[in-house]
Amino acid sequence: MVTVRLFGAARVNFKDREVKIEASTVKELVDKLIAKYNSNMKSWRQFMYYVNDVSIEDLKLYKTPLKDGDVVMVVSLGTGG
Amino acid sequence: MKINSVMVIGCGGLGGFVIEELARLGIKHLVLVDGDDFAKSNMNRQLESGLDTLGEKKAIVYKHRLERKGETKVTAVPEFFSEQNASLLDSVDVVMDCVDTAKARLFIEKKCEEHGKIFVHGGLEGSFGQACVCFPGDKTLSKFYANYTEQPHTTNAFTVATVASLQVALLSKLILDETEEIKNKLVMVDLDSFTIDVIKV
Repeated sequence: MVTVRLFGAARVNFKDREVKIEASTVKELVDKLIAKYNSNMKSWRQFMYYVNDVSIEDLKLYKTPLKDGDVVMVVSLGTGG
Repeated sequence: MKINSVMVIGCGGLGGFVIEELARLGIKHLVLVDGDDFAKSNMNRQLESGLDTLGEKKAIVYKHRLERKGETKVTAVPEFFSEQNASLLDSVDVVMDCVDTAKARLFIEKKCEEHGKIFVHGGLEGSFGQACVCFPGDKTLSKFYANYTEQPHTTNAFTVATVASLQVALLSKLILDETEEIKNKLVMVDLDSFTIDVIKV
């Protein structure tokens, strides 16, 4: 299982603080999150994803492999002030 | 880094607390940029919002607030930050991003890039907020806001004050020349579960 921690707008929009999901890639994880929250890809594309504190931009983007015990942070920057 | 003058863009929630803390930190000259007036909707979180300031220009109100203390030179620019006044960046050492839309933040990033200025970003959503120092070339906000869809904000005074303090704490690291501690790092605060995370950006 992969632990997913939600921050910022992701938490505000989808209410959960942390969820555990079975997934072998970030793409599969995002697909499962879309289904779980009855949302769409547009909502999830605006977030940044960190696998064990490393941005997927420095890994293999949505093809980044995941394994049991990985922690994925879903991050969005708040724009309020 | 010697920081004598700081521009605060946005004198609302974040800006109000940032202005207060910068003055108390001893920054000699503050340039306050905001074309907005105080409105009733600001009262939940903005330091100087009150019945006596409704309809008044925020930049002017904060100038008067600091003048009462008398130790900080304040230049009030009661206009929104734009192409027309962006050249003011050349008169300051560092910029504080205290606006409230992704679009305005990306414009600040663009102008700071063009003028070779460091800026300290802060933003929030509900009980979550973040702050980071953006050096020329970083383009941190472009990465995060690339696919961002603007949505109405939920804001409150405690998150605003916390994020503003993070911004000023980051600025103090610049003053102390401890840039390695803050370069390419985003500080995220969660006042729902009371955590602070620092991630590499």
